Amino acid sequence: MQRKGFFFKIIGLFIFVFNFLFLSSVCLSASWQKPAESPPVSFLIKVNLDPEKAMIYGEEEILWENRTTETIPDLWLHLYWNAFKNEGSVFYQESRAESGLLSVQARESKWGWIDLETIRLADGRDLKATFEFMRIDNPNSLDETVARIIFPEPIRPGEKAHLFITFKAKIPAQGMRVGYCGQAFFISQWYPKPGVYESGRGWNCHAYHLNSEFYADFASYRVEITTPPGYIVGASGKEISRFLDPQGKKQTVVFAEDWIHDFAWTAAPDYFRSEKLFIAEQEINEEEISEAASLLGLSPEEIRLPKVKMIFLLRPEHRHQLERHVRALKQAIKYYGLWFGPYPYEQITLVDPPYKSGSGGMEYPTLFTAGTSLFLSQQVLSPESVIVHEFGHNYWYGLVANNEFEEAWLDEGINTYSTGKVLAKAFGPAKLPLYINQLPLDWFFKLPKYYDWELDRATSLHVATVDPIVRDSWKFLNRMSYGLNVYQRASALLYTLERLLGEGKVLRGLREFQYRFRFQHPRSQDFFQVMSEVTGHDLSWFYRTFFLSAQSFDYGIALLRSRLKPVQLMGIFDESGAKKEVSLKEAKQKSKEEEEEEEEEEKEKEKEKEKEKEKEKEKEKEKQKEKTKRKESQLKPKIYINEIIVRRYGEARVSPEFPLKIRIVFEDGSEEIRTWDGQERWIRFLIEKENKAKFASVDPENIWVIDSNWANNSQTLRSQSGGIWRQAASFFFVLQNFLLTLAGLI
Amino acid sequence: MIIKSLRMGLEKTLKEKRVIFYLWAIQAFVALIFTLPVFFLFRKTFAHSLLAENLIQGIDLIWLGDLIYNYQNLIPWIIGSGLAMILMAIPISLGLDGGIMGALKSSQSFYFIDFIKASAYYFYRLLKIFLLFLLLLILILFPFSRIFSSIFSLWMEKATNAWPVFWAGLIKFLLLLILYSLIRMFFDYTRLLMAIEDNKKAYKGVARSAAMISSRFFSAWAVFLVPSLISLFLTFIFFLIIRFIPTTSLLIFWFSFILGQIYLFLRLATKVFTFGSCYYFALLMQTSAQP
Repeated sequence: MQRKGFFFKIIGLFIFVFNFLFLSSVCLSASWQKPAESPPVSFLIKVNLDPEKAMIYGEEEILWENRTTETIPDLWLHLYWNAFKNEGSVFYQESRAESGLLSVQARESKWGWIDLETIRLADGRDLKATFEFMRIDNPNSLDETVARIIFPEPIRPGEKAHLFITFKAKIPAQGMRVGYCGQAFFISQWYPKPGVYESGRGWNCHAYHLNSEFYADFASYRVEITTPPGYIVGASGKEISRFLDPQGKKQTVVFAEDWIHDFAWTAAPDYFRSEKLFIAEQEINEEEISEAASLLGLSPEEIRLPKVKMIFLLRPEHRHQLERHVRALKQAIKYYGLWFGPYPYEQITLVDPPYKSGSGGMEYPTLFTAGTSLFLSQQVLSPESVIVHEFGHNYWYGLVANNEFEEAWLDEGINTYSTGKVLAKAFGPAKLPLYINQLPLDWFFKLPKYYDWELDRATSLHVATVDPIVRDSWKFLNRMSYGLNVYQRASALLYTLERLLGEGKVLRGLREFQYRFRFQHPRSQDFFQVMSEVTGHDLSWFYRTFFLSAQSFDYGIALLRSRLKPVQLMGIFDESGAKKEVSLKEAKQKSKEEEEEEEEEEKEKEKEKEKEKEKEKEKEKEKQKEKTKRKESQLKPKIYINEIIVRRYGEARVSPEFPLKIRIVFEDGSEEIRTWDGQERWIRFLIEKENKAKFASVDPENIWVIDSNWANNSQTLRSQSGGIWRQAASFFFVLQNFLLTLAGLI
Repeated sequence: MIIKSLRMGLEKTLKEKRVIFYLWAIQAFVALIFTLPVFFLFRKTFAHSLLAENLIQGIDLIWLGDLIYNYQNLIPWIIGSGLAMILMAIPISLGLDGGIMGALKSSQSFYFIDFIKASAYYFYRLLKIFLLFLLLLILILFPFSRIFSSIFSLWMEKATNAWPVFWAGLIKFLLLLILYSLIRMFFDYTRLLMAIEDNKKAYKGVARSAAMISSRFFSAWAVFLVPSLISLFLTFIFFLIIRFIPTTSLLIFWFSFILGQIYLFLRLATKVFTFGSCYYFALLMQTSAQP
């Protein structure tokens, strides 16, 4: 028996191992993984950091393959750090147009630049003579962030260009997304990087704009970073080797990764480095897997997640916050993985960037910067929100690599929506992250709690009519319009879609979009095509109305009125073959009687209620009275005409496929639901009922998150004052305090 | 002398509860005037909306967002009202201070009409003192603020983390607060001495005050600071209590509102206490100086 038992145990173990390996291989080899073929570009870069001079010196080998059907005569390159070279750059010109806090001031001795020293082909031919700056986004600027070189022979489809470039660059002290503080450096957008050649459109290679992020081809990277010894270096991809030079004066760390489209790195002698592992089996229980699987209409096996190595590089003064960073990143890997597919790389690096380097809260493939403050409040989701958001960009931007110059919403909007969902699920509502001299205001005052969708809605209302969401990033009216449209309004629209179609459908659509366009460059139309396919609804109207045009959306109840239906109408009536005239006086008299009767009835009802309280013994008698009254009223019912007018105040309309719901609740608790296609400017509903309406509301389930005025979405017949008095009293108290403090000061 | 001044100040404060009520009532009236438009704005927007239920729960971004969006055109009006309130608050505050001074000088029951009379009586000289105070504030506080900033900026520029910024901000705030309290103390004693001596000449008052403070500087400062610190402590306790009171129901909210009014009443009492203590300190100083 024992032997038999042992045999079965062995068989059981074998089956388990087989199943595990088989299922793992099936699930983990689906389309979420990196493609087997090599990407169109490959980089081999050797970079040397000189911390004393804040300079980098680089040698770059680019292998660029023409995967289009066109013959291409030139190559366009981004030289992003020239944005910080002088005030003539597009970046600073656009910044000057901004006002107040949203502008980025140019500062003396903080400049940065990049110079290409040599440009050669693999066969040694020098291309430097063909080098020229391109200023297509703003010909009037002195911008040097885009350049082109012309090949001696055009590159035909399928051919490769093999370039060798040497460059040196001055690190801007407080650039945007790049900078340093003391000996700590964060380096991004630092190497000459080709634009994206698009068939039929040519080179897509825009200048470094104030309101824009980036766009590049997927590539293989091998980057050798040389720094003084003792520096802790973090970078995109994985560290594959490190070595010291023979004199021990320099260290080189080599990083590599395939199928990423940008490469950032950081180096500082004092980073606090920690490595952790995300193990799905420890972080996700079966219930959560089942819940996510049923939401997505998949089997639990299809959404299992692989391990991910997490590297944390925190500033020493924040090392005590490691736990919060770890927890936030784990939650992000978990929910993004469950909803949008596994994270396909082995490693993710979280960087708490150098102080005042201007590089916090930014995404790069397989690496992102967060940023935190000295003091944290338990109720404020900082640094959690930024960690979840920036990690999320590895999905929306990193994997589904849209053109951020031209359609920034496609990653920022979707990712803002995704972030909000993860935060709500993992952490619940949060308090506003407001600080005074680094101290969270939440420590001193009661701040309101909110979910991200509420903030998205409240902030995006202000820009609904300013710009459409889909447009070139630098063509928005200002930075505020860019930010609120691309992030918050797009997110609020996705919340609207979620409420309109169901959470499962939207998540399924997003997952499908992610899977279909991983390692590609989709456009907005692709997104709506996938969403339409998955949800079974043609969403082109949604795209046209809310993404391509700037219109406000506001439906509201303009009128709610209940009046007694007249018992007697005035005029000539045919009665038993004769014409009988009812005069105004007679009609009024009849109606008056009716009204008086009604008033009496109401008074009696009130009296009866009082009596009910006072005399319990008489309850039964009163019930009988009630019954007789009901009988009477059945004989002679009073009818109310409940009039509801619903208006479309904004320009944007709902689709007839998704008519608006209008809910009318009556005093007896009954309710009626009406629908309206919402195309005209207004509609009137007349409902005859034995009861007065208590309230009417349009879109009672608050599906239309982007509705700019929810206050007018409902109307009650009687006014409600409790909340108003409460808020007025709060305001009164704040004023009293203010006056007293002012009196104390003067 | 410090303890004696504080004890006498406290006794006077406890005796003049009516004056504290006048102060509270007048400030509440002013606050009410500026609250009314807000109340009507709320009524107009929410009285017939189901969103009014959210107002009971406290501030939420849904109704607040709607309100800001719908009335964004009123922002200049709101800023204007705020400025008007500040401008209005200055003479009112001077008037109230005059009332307190009248009460301190009076040894009999002090009624509302006496309060108003005292306000009017001392108003002009308090205004002169206030203008001098403002001038001194500008001449001292602003340059010192710049000096502190430039000293700290050397430290902050070299900072590689946020700690120096935090400490610099805190130290600068405390230094300015100390400086402010000194200037404020100086002018409080000036106006109280002017009241004691029934002197109408501001410059003379300033000179007398300077002479008095310089002879017993730390005592004078202690008498001024103790009630101020009590006020600060009261504020701390109030906010601590209020943090733990959930105000999601109307009943609890009104309870916390009453608590708030008690807190304001106590703060006004510390104001009278400050004036009283300084008044008796000045009086005792004057008595001891007489041969």
